[in-house]
Amino acid sequence: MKLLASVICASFLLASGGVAWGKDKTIGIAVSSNALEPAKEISLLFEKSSGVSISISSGSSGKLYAQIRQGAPFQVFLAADDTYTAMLETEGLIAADGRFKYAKGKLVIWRKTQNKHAPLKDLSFLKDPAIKRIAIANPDTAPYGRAAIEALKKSGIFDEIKGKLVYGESVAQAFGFAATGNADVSMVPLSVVYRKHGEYSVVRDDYYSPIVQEAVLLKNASQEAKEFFEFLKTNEAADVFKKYGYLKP
Amino acid sequence: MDWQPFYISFKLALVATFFLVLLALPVAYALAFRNFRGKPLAEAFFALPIVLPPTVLGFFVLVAAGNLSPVGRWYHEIFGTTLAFSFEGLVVASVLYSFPFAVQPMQNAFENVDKNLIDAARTLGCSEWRNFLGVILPAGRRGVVTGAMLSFAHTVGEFGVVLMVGGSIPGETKVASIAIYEKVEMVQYKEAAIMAAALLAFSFVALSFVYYINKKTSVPSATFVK
Repeated sequence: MKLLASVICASFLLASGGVAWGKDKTIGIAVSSNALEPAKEISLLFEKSSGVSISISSGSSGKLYAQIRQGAPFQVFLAADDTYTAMLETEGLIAADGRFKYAKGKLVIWRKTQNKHAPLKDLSFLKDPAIKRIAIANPDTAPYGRAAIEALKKSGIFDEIKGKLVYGESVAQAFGFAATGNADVSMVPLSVVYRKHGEYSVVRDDYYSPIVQEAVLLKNASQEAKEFFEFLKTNEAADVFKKYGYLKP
Repeated sequence: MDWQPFYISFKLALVATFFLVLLALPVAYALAFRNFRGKPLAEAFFALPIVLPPTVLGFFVLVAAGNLSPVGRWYHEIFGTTLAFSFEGLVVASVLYSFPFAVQPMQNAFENVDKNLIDAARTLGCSEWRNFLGVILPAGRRGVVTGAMLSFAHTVGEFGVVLMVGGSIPGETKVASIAIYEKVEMVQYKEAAIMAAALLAFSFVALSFVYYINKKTSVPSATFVK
């Protein structure tokens, strides 16, 4: 009985804590997996200077887009390219002047262990039979997956290696496939491999069309969310994106 | 519309159900009729996949299948390929994921078999094996059918585990649930809706069929006394 009473008390405490947290100035933002790390860092900077707390939901842009359309409580959306943001604008879901390019992504090829004998420099090393699996994000849903396919085609090895491709639902999962040793290499944005052990080499940028990443301020945005959106345009935020290997759009 | 993912789902469910029934029968028998130390631990262990989030189970399988684990290296040495991202890998993952759904109905059914029947067979000189085949299995067959049916349904409805270890390879690991998920991500809601409706209809028909069969086969156990 005592136990039951304390469980009930605890649940009420938790519930009321939840309510208090909800009333607090919290901005919900949706971030494409590739930009999660820099977004976290920028959020911390913003939280320090404004006292507003930010809760980040990350995933693939397509999923976040679907959730936003169904009324998910996000106020700012950092997408992996400019297609989903353009659709949101057409659908009238974004605030006035609420769309800007925050970064341009770089595609890299990464592997967990360093190997001097098979340098990463040229994509043609992927033809090596010792490489069984190449993980990329799903090209149908992820811009970096599309870029990887484009680069493989441009380098002329696509037909030879297409049987080795495996698809992550996001760049984060594609990276995870290689990090857990299930795939030999992965082709992901530089931001994902930043500070991770292993080695990478940047894929020539004339091998794929530029990936311009856009952020949007959604229609329901609060004053705090607007301030955060403006903060994304500052040099302070730009420096963080630069640190993670993004180019200026 | 690409219907191949449905074929993969169906094939996966059939193959996984086959192995599940094969593996679950002895386990259910042991749990129903044997008393040994640590039996509650064994029961808890086999029930774990019910509690574990599919993503957690999928993550375990992914790590175990990678070349950083002994299991992964061993598999790679023998078969020259990775377990993850293959149909075989999905079968292994599905068997782990659906195991309690196969074992528990069978165990319950075996436990409810009239003890007098089993004792009578024993006094007539039936071996354990003959007792199992001739008395326990026929009397508990409803549980076996239910276990197989749940295994099949659970595998068709599998998503999180496949998402973790499948790699979405068309014709190999891209199952229906993953294909629907991708359609949603691609903002092709109409295709997603059609595929989802098809999966729903298929599941309903399959389940109705099995319940129908199940009803036909459920005869009072006394019938089996000869």
